[in-house]
Order: sequence, then structure tokens, then C-alpha cells
Amino acid sequence: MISGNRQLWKEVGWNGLRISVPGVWETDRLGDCYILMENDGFPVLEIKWNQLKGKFSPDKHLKRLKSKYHKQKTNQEIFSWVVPRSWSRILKGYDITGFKWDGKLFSGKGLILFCKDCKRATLLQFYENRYKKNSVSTLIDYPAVLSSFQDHNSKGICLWAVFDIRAELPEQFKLLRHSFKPGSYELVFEAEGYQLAFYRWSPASVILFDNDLRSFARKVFPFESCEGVSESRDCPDSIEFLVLPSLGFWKKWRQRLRKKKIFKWSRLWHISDANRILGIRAESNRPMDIDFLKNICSRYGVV
Amino acid sequence: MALFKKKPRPSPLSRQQALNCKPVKNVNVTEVRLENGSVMLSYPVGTRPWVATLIKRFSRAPEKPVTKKLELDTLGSAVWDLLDGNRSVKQVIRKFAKTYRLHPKEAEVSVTQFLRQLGRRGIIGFRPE
Repeated sequence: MISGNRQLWKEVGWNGLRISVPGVWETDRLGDCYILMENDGFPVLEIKWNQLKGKFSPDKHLKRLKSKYHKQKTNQEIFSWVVPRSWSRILKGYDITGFKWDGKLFSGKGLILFCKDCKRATLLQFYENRYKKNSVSTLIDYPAVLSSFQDHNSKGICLWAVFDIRAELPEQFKLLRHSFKPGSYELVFEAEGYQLAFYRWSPASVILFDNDLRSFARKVFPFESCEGVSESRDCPDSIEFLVLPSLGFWKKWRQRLRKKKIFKWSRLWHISDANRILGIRAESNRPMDIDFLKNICSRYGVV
Repeated sequence: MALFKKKPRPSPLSRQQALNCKPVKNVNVTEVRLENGSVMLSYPVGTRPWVATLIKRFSRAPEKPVTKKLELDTLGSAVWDLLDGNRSVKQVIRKFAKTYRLHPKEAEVSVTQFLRQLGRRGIIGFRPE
């Protein structure tokens, strides 16, 4: 089993969910409340979760899952499965329902978890490839993966760790949009009129070949047209921009009614060891605490 | 009737098979190294037979193969330089990711997209393992 070297494991965090998986597993697909992990091109773990409002009924969920697979005509048969005691012990805070399925290419084990504290229902599906019996995916250390599973955090901090980026944000910030294109990642969050965007560009050596960080920053954050822009650099590998025009009382109110973001702040920094450029942009119709933003920057990095 | 029977489509390659293919450069493609280190490719463009017949019939000028030019950026040129006919797609991805310290998934997406585009233009072909 691949539990031997836990150093080769990595933590994945997405929209309130946190789980540790073997390092060879890669994120294949991401949705707002969905993660599909793959290993060597084959799915290994699929997680879906949702906040429930009413009563939780695992049988209803299982029935729905069965009919879904039946409609898809995937020749997959789903049947109830008694979860091993060791698993239940690990997941003792949850209501657990187990199921198994058998298909042409994949078979696997699944769990429907319900957390009474956060009222979140999670569907975990571990895939096993029928044609790769001795592959890593078939030798999953289930207890190790399950013991790291968290669907909420009591400290009010949400971890966002996918691919090679890792950020920690207060829970209030909800994901607005995300894009992971080769060379550029973007994650945009919003909370109470504040907007925070996280960026990651690579390879930095190519981007900064005939550009310096300042001109690159000006290209990606075109603040020149803004009033009251100031620029500062605390070290040669980072640059900061602040847009805070000095507006009169009425003008400020007019901007606020028009929902115009008058406060703009951004910071870009170059991590030469990792050959990446990271950036954070904050926008709001009220001034934001710069120390809070710098704290966010310190919790954003490359894995 | 067997005569009018539709030809069965060849089964698509699996991901693993596709990654094991070896990209081979088209011998009719000429490459020129530019001053900035990037590569400029000139490749012949195949015309449809009926277009070729029309050109042949109505054009007075001697028949010349139509060529197009394609300038690769820094990363494209780096991938192009890795294509030696012996390396598989997987090996090219690994080498590319190592050179630029890219995330493996990111390198895989960008290199496969790039190779697919070159393949569509006929600049490279893929030799199965």
C-alpha cells in the first residue's frame, strides 16, 4: 500500500473540503463542489459535496445514484455495502453509508458521508481499474486518505490547495470563478463587497525574459488610467500597486452607488526557485486593511 | 451487402498509447533559427485535388508547391527542439516540464495541445511505439 512514505503525500483543499492523497494523484477536474483525481490517466477518487437544508436520507441518495447510473446505461451495478469497522472508527463524526459498484472498466467503493455539524453531505468514490490490478490506484491506503478527510474547519479558515498553489482564506470569501489554463491560473473570491483574486503565472523565466516584473505587472493589472495610483517595492522580487483616489464626500457616495470599486490593490512577486510569479489583486468600494492583505499574501504560495 | 458496408472506424488510441507515440518531423519542413532564438517553420500546404487541377489548367506560372510560414514562440521552439524522432510524447513532456520547472499536468496539457496543432498542419507525424 502507498502509505509508507507520507512525505510523498499532498494536501488538496477546495471550497471547504480538505483531504490528503498520494503525491502521484493529480487533480483532473474541478467544479464548485466537485473534484476528480486521476492517476496515470485513470480516475482514482471522485468527491462531490453539497450543503443540505432539509433532512438527510442516505437511502434516497443511493437510490438517486442507482437511477443515474441506470439512465447513463454504463452497465454499472450499484449495491449497498457494509463499511468496515476501521473506516467507521476513522469517520466517527459522520453518518456513513457504503456502496460498491461494478462496471466494465471500473469497479469501486463509495461512501456517502453526512456531517451533523456543518450539514454537508459528501459523496466519495474510490475507483479501481479492472485492467490494472496491481497499479497504484488499486493499492489505495483507504484509511490514510479517509483519516485526512475534513469537510469543515472550526478555525474559520478555508484551504485552497490544487495543482501547485496553496492559499488560505477566511471562510467568508466565496469562490466566484476559477480558471486553470497552462501558464496562468486565476481564482477569484468575493465577500461583502470585497473581491480578492489570486494569480499564478509560469514559467517566470520566459515571461520575464524581455520584461521586468514592473512592466509585466502593468500589463496584467492596467492601473495607469486610474486616479491616485502609487507603486512600492519592498524587495526587488516583488511589486505593489495601490489605487486610492482622494475623493470628496459626494463623489465617494456616487462611486459607491454606482458600485464602482474605488480601492484597488495588487501585489506581484517572483519566486525564482519555483520559476513562478504569484499575484494577488484586491478590489473594493471601501478601503481595505493593507495588513490583512499582506497576511493573505504570506499565506499564498507554491507547493 | 459487404460492398456497401461502412468501413469500421479504427479504435481511438488510449491516453497511454498516445503518450507513447513518437513525434516525427516532416522532412519537407524547413526550419530557420531567428535572432531571438525562436524557430520559423516553412511547411508545404496540400491543396485539394480539384483545386490543384484548376491551378494547373489556368495558371501560366510553373507549378510551385504552396508553403506557409509559422513562427514559434520561446516555449514552442523549446518543444520543437526536443522532437528528435526518438523521444516519445511522454518523454518530451517530462523534459519540457523539467527544463521550465512546470507542473506535470500543466506541461502535459500545453505540450499535447501544441503537438496536436503541429500534427493538424502536417508539420509532424506520430509514429506508434
